[in-house]
Amino acid sequence: MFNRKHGFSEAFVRGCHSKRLSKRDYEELGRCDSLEDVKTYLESISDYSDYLRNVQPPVKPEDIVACCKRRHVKEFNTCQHQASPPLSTFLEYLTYGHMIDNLMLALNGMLHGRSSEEILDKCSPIGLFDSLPSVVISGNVQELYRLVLVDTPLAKYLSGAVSAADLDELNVELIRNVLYKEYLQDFMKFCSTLDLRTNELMKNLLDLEADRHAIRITVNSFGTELSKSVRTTLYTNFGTMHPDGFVRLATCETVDEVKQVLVTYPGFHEVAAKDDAHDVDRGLRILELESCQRVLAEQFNLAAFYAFSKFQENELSNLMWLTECIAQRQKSSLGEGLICIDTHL
Amino acid sequence: MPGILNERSIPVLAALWTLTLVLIVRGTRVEEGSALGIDWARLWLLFTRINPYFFSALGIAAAVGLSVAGAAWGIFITGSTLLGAAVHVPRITSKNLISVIFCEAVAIYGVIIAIILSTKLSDVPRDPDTGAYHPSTMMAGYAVFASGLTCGLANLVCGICVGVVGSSCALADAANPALFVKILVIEIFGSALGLFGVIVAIILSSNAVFEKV
Repeated sequence: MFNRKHGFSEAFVRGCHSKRLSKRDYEELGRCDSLEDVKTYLESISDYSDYLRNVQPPVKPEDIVACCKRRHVKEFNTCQHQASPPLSTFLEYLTYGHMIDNLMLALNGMLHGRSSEEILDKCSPIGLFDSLPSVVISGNVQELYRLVLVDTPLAKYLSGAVSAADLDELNVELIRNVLYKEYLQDFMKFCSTLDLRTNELMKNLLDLEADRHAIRITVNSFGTELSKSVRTTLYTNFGTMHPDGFVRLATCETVDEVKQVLVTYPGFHEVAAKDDAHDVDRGLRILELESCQRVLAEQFNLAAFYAFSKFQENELSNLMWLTECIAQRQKSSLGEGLICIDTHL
Repeated sequence: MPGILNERSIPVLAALWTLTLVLIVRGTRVEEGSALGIDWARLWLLFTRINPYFFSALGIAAAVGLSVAGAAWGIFITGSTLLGAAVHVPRITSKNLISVIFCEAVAIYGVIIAIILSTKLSDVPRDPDTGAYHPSTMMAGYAVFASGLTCGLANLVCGICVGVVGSSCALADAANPALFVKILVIEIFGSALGLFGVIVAIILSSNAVFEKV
């Protein structure tokens, strides 16, 4: 009965997924010497040519990234237009993550006095909400706070957590984490109302996401005035490391201590065995994409849409890194930021 | 739109159904005997007096109805996936029509069996003394019913099976054309399941003869 509602969208998403840049494409792109070459190569892959046609030389990294973004948004929107519940609600939950990012971008931008066009340019179009542009143009933080509380689906996550008065830089990060925690928990709750298999797969994926969230908070809080008790309140109430791993994470003070916690968990063992602090985050992302890849091997469940959106994000960040590297002529660091999982099984 | 069968309506419907059953059984209980006794003999008599043509018609309806339901279900599963996958990879459409045809074949099995069964029917008079049908006529009625049901149920699940495999076939073909033939083999085995039902149905109904004694 799954196919009655979601068969078309699922197959469509898989079609988009198979058109994603593959490992070989990244290798080819890595050989390019200039952004013009990148553009030519991308144009030779049929799906990008439509989006790249209007890009005039000289090509800037932002242009290519913007094209990629446009393509993703188009894919996502097509999917959303086709969706009926519960898929439409599921996709809405996926947009909330982008919404949180946008909101934080707007807050940060406004606190630093950036121009409204610049902020809106950076916002992810998937997570735009109606009042965001008007608020950003008005440039008033209090106004933004009030509108978010009234207008957006994020209101239920935000209420009571913070007041408009304490919006400064540290707090922006804090709010982001509070919002993200509430969002993950709510998403988890929503997934438990879905069918069994979706629930099972989403539980694994969200568990991993919750662990990443907790680790990120822990690592980022080193050297800030964020107290350990506050740190504990930011952790989600689920995750593979929940609860004892989170308790131990809360007491960590260096990256090495975090790694010692991670090593005890079988899934994270390899990630933590590496030396570099940067590697932990990268390793976790690879881990996440690999589990997304496994999810895509199954049919007739909604988790495929989550995996799809994760791969979209990955492609975007890959392209961003790649174009920047080529633009700044630092191809030696190319491998550090690229994460390519072979998309074909 | 919420369906008729949801978590609220099911208990209500179940209660109504139980109540109906209780009323039917109580209506046929012995008046003179013990207060709560059920006259099983009378119920049995009611059952054995059901017209064999009623059973035959039910069997034919099940054969064609369930088969078509299975085929339609399968085509739906395959078709929706095929459409979605074809947005990005148009080349798969004509190849994957085979999956749809496999589902369609399931409906044809049902129609064939329904035709075979309906040709068996002929008018047999009742026994003028007792008003009952001859045992061989009754047996023919039951046989037609059973063979229709066998064919219908087998084809129902076969259609769903072929549909699910067919939709995976479309996705796999879109991702990697080399997989198409391999999945097609699985699909052929799936559609053979329906044939088993058809064979059993034909054997079952071959004994069923409505003839004058």
